[in-house]
Amino acid sequence: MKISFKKILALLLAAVMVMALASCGSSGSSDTKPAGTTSAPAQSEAEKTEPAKTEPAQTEEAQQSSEEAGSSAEYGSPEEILSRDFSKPFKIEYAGVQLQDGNDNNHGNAYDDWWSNTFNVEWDATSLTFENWTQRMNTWLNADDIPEWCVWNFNAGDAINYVDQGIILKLPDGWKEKYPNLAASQELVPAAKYYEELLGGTYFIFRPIYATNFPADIITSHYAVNLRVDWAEKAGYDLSKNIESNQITLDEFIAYNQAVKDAGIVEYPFVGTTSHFISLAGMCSEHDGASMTAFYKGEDGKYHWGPAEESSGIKANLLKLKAMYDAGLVYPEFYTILNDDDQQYFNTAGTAASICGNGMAVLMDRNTRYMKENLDLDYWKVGVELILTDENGKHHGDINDNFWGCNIISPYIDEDKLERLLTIWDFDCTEYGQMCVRMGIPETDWTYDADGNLVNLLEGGIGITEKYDVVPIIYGNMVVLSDDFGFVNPAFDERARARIKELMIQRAGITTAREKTKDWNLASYSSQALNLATMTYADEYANLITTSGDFSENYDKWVKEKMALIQPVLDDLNEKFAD
Amino acid sequence: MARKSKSTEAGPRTAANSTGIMKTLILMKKHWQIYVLLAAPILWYILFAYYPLAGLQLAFKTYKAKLGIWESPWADPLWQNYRALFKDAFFWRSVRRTLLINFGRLFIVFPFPIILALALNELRLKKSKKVMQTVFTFPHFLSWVIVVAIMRNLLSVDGLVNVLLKTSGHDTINFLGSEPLFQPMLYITDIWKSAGYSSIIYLSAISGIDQDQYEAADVDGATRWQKLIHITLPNIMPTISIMFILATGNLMTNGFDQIFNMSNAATKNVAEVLDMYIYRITFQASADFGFSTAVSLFRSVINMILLATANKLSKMLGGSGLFG
Repeated sequence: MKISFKKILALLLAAVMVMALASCGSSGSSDTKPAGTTSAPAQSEAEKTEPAKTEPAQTEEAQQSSEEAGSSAEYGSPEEILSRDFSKPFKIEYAGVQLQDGNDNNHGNAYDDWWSNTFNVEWDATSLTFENWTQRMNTWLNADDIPEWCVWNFNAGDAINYVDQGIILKLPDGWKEKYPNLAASQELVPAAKYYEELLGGTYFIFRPIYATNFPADIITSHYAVNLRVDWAEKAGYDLSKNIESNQITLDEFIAYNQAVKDAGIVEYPFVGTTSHFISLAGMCSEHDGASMTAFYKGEDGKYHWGPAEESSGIKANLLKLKAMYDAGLVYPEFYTILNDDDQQYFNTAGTAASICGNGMAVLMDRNTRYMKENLDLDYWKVGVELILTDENGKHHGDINDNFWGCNIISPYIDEDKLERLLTIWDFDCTEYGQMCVRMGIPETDWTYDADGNLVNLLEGGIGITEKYDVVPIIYGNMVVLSDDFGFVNPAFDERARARIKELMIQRAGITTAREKTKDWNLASYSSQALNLATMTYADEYANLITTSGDFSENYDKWVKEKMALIQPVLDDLNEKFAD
Repeated sequence: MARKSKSTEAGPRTAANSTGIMKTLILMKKHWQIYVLLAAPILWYILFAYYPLAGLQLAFKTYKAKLGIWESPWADPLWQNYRALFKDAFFWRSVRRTLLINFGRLFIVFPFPIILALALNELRLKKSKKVMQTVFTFPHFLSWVIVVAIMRNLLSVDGLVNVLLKTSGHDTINFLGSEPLFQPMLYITDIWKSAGYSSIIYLSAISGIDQDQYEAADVDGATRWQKLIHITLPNIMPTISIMFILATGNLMTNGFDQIFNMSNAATKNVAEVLDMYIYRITFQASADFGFSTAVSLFRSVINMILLATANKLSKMLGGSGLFG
């Protein structure tokens, strides 16, 4: 039988199409042994909903192996960790925000190369943005298919649900003894202990904002405002009292911006993103939802919703922002500014008289460097960072949980990989590890002198970000976040570090967070009603401010509309947890 | 008697059926190459269009990732997701907003590709026709992220348009944060981006028109305008009719990419269409896939009803339907 060319071609085409379809399916199974024992398809109902289980860590074995490796250093010390056997290479999946696009995160520069070589590990990294972070994580989690290590924007309601389903790995029993530095880092986060007890084990490694270098006794919101002092003088506005006290009220802040505008110095004196602009009201209000939870338990023992309560001060303070906006004191399209781009108007373009920022040394350091580079100005002469307060000199804030995001691990991770990952995290939490993360490669970028003092070998006050042209996010925000080191980082301007400490201590003294206690019932509450009532408060307030007409009427109408969704949440909360 | 007659009728029908099946099988054997080629698309449709329909059961379930779609427990009561949904005033608001925007699209955006196709068809120089067609088609290949970025550069407070307004002594216009301007800007950008590409189907319909009709009209001394109105337009009417019916079937669906990228805090009230609502409840709060599926199923059912109604109406008015 003669087979025509046409027939062969038809068969080939069909085969290619079927193969293309098949390639859309599962990526196949791994031959490595998972750290968790959850393997959904073949399990019984009961097993399927049970949290992942892992073999207990053999601390003694680990200690023994470190002794065998010839290390006489104390177990868990940086020397001992670095002396362990890392001969087996691993590639670990990672997903997190703030990764630098185009950077291979492994050997693209000397810094990443040092880390990859030291621990013989490579990252198969997925870069998430702040815009798609929640979306991607929700999708992966609900498909029971998270990357081996993810940075997750912790949400208590979802956390409990996912743990119940066994989607997130439970750390092996005895992990605290095996990884003592990592365990110590979790003691800095009150939520870690609470959720460990609630869930019967450790599922989340919270990323502490502050650790050993935090100078104050209470952690609260660290937002602050930056102003141009030279323009105040030019506009004839007296800021001396504020500079002396380190504080400025919202009314004074508005008056300053008005003076700058009236003097014709800039067209729009305040520039901020939606969240930064709304923060101005948040720092003078309670339970505004934009910077803290909107639900709270009142003195009557019942739950309330901040925006509906006059005592919260939200409406009154937003009204001030509305007046500020209507008077042309705010960049009119503030809602189109993303990330921290508002800072550029202040320190690069020099077209903003004031901004609101994170109040950390990194921002003040940027102001110092960028103003010099771009505007030939000395920030310490023309700028000042102040704490925004209410009329009574109080800075409003909630109790800060001292973490931003948490690390979660796939229950399907290979046991050896898990050990390597936790070892790196453990190293990251040592003082030496933090030096390697923040200051760069030891003996190349930094060293200790004979007296044990840090010697910065980075040239000309630059940081590792500039030296290696990379934002070291994987290592930089692995467990302990960069904020804490900002208080002592020699790469930052010394004046910035001192000023931040001064403001942090002062803010801790006047914060309303001092008068509050953590409501764990509220923190871990979740329901479909709450889901429907969830909103981006900053966007809601921004919309009210930009909407024409009578603000008070619009605000009341908005509260009335939202109450249809809020009331079921309040009813549920009151039924379950009211006094 | 009746039973007997029924059974006597069934005999020849069965025989005819088996002959039909045999004929089909013979034909299939003869042209097996074509059927092999057809297998892959059919498989694709089964896997990616029909099999996922089973996932709609989630609308009546409480989704558990570990258990998957099939084994997740049924909601208690079964209509729990719909009970919560229908109580939500913001859901109904998003439905109203979706319909308002899409009816506008149907009557404002929909005619543009037709007008463009008719205009392009009237161009006599072949070269300029091709150039124009390329120019109009190109924006279709830009993503909405790019289109909105261009729009922002042009229309922001520091953008080209406002700078020109300012320098010519006029007040600036807040294009990006204006609620009344949001809908018109949706239509304008949609027309700019999609009219050229959408006109291709009408151009192809025009190219299929029997040229004898134009020659006869020339003999009768018809003008170009008369030929356009009395020959071209009626000839492409079946295509317009089908495109209109298909567009009606999408009345509950807005282009998510476009609205998501164009919206901001200032315009959020007018931008929360059904797609944005689904996005918000699915990805901005705790993920509740059962609830999201309930919304999506509701939308599909309404779309289906609208599609069937438009199809029926089109036939009643003497036009073409989807199935002839």
